[in-house]
Amino acid sequence: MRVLNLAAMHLRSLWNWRTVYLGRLIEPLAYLAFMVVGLNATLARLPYQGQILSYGEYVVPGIMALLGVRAGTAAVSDVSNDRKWGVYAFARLAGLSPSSYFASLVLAALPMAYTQTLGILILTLILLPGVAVSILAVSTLLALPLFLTCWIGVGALMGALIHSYSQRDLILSLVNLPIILTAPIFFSLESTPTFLKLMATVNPLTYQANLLRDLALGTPWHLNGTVTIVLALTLATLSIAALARSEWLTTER
Amino acid sequence: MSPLMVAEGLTKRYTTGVMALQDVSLQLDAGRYLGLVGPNGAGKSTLLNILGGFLQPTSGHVDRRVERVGWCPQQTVIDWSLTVLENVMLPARLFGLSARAARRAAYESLQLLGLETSSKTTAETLSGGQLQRVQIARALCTEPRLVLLDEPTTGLDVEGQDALWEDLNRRRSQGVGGLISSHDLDTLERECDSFLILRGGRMSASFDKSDLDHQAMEVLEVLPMNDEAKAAIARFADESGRAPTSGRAPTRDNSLWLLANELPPDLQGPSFQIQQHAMSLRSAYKAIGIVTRK
Repeated sequence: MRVLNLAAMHLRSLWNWRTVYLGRLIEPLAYLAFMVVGLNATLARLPYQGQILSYGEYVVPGIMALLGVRAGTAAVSDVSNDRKWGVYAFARLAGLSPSSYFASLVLAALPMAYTQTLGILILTLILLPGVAVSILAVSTLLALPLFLTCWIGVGALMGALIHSYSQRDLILSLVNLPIILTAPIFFSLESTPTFLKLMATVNPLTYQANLLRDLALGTPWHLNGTVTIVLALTLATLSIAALARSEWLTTER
Repeated sequence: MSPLMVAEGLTKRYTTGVMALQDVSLQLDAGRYLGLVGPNGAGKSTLLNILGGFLQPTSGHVDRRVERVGWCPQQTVIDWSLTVLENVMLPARLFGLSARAARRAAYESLQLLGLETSSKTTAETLSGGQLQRVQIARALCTEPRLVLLDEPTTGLDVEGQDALWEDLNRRRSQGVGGLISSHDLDTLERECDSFLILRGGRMSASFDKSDLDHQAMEVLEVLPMNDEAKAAIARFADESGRAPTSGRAPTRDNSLWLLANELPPDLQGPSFQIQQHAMSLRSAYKAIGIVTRK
């Protein structure tokens, strides 16, 4: 129950600063409405697991997976602020464990991620009529908590370990774009150079986007599903361990 | 008296090498407030933060025997993304109070501190004094059994201070206990039940209010009458590790405060004027002046 109270406080914070977060909310919708729709009309079809897909069919699951990465980026500053502004300290003082705190972050991220999912599905129905959204909707509904756990795990790990704004900013700048651009979100891996294939292999986003494609297309999903689950559990465990070892309150200003 | 918290052998060495706290032990009892005094940099905030769990001690341990703690830090620890009301409600909600109970307690605390009209505004619009009030309101809103308040009256006007102490006294009668640090020695002496003097990170003295009431210690002020006496005081201060007038700018021409049983023979005689002071927290604070060099 107290986890829900903390998650509710995170949501209140999000609501109070809604103008700041508006850009984050509409970013994936803008990707879909402008870039994907434009490329869908321009580009040839893309291959995936022996099937030939329209650009829209290929990319929309990738954009759904991208929602997790954005939640992870936000978690870096959320955790840093919570440790700086006393929220984490009060949670621990009240007896909440690091895992409860972590769960509250994931719970608080879900409403925004599901709102974005709904927006993407509606836009897909309107702008990309060939894309089947019903199975994708169910798949995203089920898989999104795993994606959020994975990327919020990364974000919380950084928030727990790094105590300097400039270091955090530098690492985010260096890591964020490569994660988004080396995963097969906007392109197919089958015709890309070897170095890009190798980078995609070590990128969790690759498995998450492909898991949604597998579920939407009915192709075997066990490999991507297993990797996604293992990564989510591993990163959640690592971040909880880092939070448990960290000071409750930082003096960072 | 049932202990609410027991701390033993607390030592804190920061990564910078500074030894902020050395071997501090204390017990906080139900229905009693322990007043914590000491000069700036004595380790008071470090001790309060360790007792709250916000800092890990290098050695020693804290046994907290109650769940609900009201914590008010000296530094500003505020969630800038929340309104004043939400900030005050935050720990109460985390301690498990229902939304309704937390809101009611928050409004009561804000009203006590004259902040009820600011409840809907974000904290960034408040002045430093108002932020301190928010922190006190937040500490009280949890309906705590134990309070850890670091200079809670700093920035409060007289009415605010009176209202706060009145509220703390009411809570004490209901069994609340805790640790309150302040530089306002006269108020601490009036309101607290026992005292801990911290200097250089060490427990310099610990005594009960009844010791003050019964004048258990005799406090003397030694005033030099000539330069030779000044030199003798300075020599004694240096050798005993204490500084004249608590190591700060001398207020009475290098006078030295000390307990009567500590008066050495070489600070006696016609070159010295000895003044006897009634034992108060202030005179005890000045007299009990062991300065431990770091």
